[in-house]
Amino acid sequence: MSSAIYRYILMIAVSFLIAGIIVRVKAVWAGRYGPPVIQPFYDFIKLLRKSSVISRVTSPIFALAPSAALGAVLTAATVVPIAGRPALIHFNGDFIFFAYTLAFGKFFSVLGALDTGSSFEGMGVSREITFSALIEPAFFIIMGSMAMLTGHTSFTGIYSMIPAASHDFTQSGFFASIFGALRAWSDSELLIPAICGNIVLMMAILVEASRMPVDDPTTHLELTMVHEVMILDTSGPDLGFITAANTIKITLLGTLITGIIVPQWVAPLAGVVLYLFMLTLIAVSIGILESTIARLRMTHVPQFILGATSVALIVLAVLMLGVRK
Amino acid sequence: MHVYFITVAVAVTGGLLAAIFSGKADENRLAAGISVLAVAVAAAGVLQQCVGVLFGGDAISATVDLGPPLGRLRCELDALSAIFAALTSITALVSIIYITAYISGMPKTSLTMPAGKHYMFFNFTVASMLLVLVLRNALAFLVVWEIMALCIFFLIPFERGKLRPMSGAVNFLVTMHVGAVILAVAFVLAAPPGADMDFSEFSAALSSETTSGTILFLLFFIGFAFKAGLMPFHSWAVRAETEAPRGVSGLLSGAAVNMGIYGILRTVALTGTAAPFSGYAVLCISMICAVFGILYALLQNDMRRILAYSTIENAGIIGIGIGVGMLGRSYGLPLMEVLGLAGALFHAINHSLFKGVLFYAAGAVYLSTGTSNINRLGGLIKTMPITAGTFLAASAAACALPPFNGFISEFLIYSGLLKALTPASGIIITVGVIAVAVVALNGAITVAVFVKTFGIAFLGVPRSNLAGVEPSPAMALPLIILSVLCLIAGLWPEAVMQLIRAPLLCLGVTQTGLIEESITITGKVSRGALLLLAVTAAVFLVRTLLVRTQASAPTWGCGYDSVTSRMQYTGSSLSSPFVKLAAPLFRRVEKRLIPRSADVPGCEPFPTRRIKHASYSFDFIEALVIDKALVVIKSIFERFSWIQSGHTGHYVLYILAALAVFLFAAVWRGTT
Repeated sequence: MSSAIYRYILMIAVSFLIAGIIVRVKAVWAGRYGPPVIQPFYDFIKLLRKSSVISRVTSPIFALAPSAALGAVLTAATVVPIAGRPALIHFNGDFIFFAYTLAFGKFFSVLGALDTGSSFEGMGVSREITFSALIEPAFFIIMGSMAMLTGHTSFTGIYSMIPAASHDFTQSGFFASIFGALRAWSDSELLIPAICGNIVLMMAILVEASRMPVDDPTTHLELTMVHEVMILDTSGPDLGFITAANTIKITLLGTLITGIIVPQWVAPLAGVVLYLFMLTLIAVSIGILESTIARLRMTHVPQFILGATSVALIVLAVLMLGVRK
Repeated sequence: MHVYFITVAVAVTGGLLAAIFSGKADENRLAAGISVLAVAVAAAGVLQQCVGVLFGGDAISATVDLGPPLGRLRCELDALSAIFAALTSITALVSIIYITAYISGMPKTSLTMPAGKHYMFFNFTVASMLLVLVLRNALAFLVVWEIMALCIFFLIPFERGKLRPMSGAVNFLVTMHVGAVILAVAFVLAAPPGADMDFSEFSAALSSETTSGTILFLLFFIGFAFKAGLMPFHSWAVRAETEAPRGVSGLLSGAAVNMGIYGILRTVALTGTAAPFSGYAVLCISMICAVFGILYALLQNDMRRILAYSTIENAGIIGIGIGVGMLGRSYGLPLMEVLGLAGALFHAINHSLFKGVLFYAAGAVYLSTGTSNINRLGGLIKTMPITAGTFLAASAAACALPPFNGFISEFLIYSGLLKALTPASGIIITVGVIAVAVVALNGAITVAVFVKTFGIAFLGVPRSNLAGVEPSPAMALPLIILSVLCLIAGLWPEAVMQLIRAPLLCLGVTQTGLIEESITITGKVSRGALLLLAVTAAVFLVRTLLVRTQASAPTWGCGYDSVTSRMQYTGSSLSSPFVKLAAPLFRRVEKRLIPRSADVPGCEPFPTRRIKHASYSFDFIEALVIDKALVVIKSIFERFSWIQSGHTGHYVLYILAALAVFLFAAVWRGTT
């Protein structure tokens, strides 16, 4: 239990680095030096200490929204297995709880944006609710199929079966357990679902966190039309909370990706190292992705998201074929 | 059982007295008092009976001999009836309190009939609903079923001189009759020869796993689906719930729809193990209903229409639960069966709670602003904080967000779907995953719908000069009570699960251990919801500690400083991206009422005249299934229009001929 708490804290702490790494990679790619990797954490602390300006139009909903968004991701994080070990809390169907808790946060942050009566923020809300409604089925098809394939309905249960249940390297050495994991993957039946699942989750990160090619988070206003535009009137600690919630959300989905790759039965140290390595890899790839591709036209974003759904349907097809066999 | 009959009689008597005592304005108050008192007494009596049945007690039954032609009628209050009777009586009590407050807030001259008569029909409706739930004789059931429809018909037109409520009422009556005819056919087909038409006699025909059993089940399902408002039989639900007075909308959505659900569940109880096809049919119809219902809700900008379509969606979710339960039973997956049926019952309870709040809050908005078009509202949270707060809580419940009750019931249904893992057949697993995705999509669109409804109507700046006023305490109290119940049921679902334990046994669940297991499942997830509440509260506490100085300023207009309230996003623009995406799924007409500036000389480059633009969305399923079918039926029946000659003599002849035919048929059957 206590080690699960450490892992939980590790993940929350690492999430600030993730945001820093993405910014750094983009800077290096563009030939700049870039801010230190730990900069998002400094920003967070600074925002917490700043005073805030609040629109006269707003109601208590606006004050509540950032806290609800942060509370939701912190709660959702408790059911995510980290670094190849069971999650802090796990129960049957906790991936549904995960999705609906994130929806709770989104519900409030979106209402907070509408509360300002700003037309820009209304535009952001309009797009946010559309895109997140479209990505939801893909996530549920992936997790539902994984649940059916492994016979478990909690994240921890599903991941304990990846890539196969029959191994145990928790007592072995660092490298032995990593090689064991690689060997287990080579003849795992879950290979195709795992690859598709990772693709879908990666696309879900880009949609949920409004990153390229769905949205460009670095430009304010003129080009940024989904997430950043919803927080135009947010300032001070509220802005810190919202930004933290967004980075933690990226890390959560990233952790789900590492969960599909890092087996639950590797040695503890190997698990943590693999986890951090994979997360860094994800952050670097998001950074490279943002440096190399342009933002899609808003009308083309739904096609991108439906692409994720079709990848998810491949897993469903695997499930059908597997059962028939 | 006598107590139950007495309570029904009290409701009827109260209605009659209310009608007698209506007339002048001060007497209206007396009529209202009598009506509320009668419903309250009836509700208390029914609840007392139901609690006895739901907690440990056995079903109460009685046989009443009414003589020919009805004969001996068996009445039984078993757990399944009891849970719906309890829900009906609570819903009825809340609505009657609300209706009296609502009527007293209206000018008396604008009513179509004296308020007392309105109360009378309300009481009759409640009494007939309570009777329908205990009757076990098909003939009597159909008669009371029709009386219920008739009484509701009289409740819908309310404000004098409005045409649409009347057309809504007529639509309701016609739809109910079609449903009743299908039910009558189903009853006749299911009855064995020489039967008393008692319900217990139908289970043999229903439970046969042959094609005829499946067809029979589907006939019953469709007959009751009309009442439940399942697509494509939903046209009444939209029209009647939109046009009926607000309290009555609450009754229609919270109780009348439940009658249909009760009917479907009763059929399931009588059927036992159905063929898998029946389960798939129920699941598929319900999935279509849930997704299309909420999609059409997203198209609407009238609060009442949004809520009416949301009712259809929720009926769909309940239907999905029932479908999951039936499939679980057919494939021998008892936990799936228990979870599905428990989810359906739980959601029926939840829906009555949160939809009541939503309708009553929308009614309060309409009463004080005179409109329920969200595009003309805005910023109501400042003038109507209680209404807004309760509407928000109920919206979160309707979106199935933790920590509210809707989440628990949808979680049960999800869990049931995820238990579809069996080596027997690949189809059910695939259908299970697809259904999971459909429920998820449905949940996400629901969030969009309620973000739109609440965000546009209650947040931001008023879009017109319509100002809201907080409703009277009598109208605010039901809102608060029901939304607190939503939260309690979400945080402490074990209590609700205890309520539905006996009904589950009544539905044919045999393993009590699995019910305990599902109670544990809801308990665990609700602790998670509690954690969410606690963490959010803690974060908010930290925030209040951190925020020391707080300046206030106007909303940032991004450098533009003459922002007006009309520049805000409206309901239509908020849903526009999704609506454009989903355009193939409904019919949409856009009209520019004044031609483009290019077409009118002198308007360029800036139009000097106002340009009006209007867009309408049409219910595709209704247009496709119902309207097309009606055209075909009409063309067939028009060929027989010569029968309606208009001469009295001809009609007398028809009666004689019909009598003669029946006489010969009876004699012929008697001889063979």
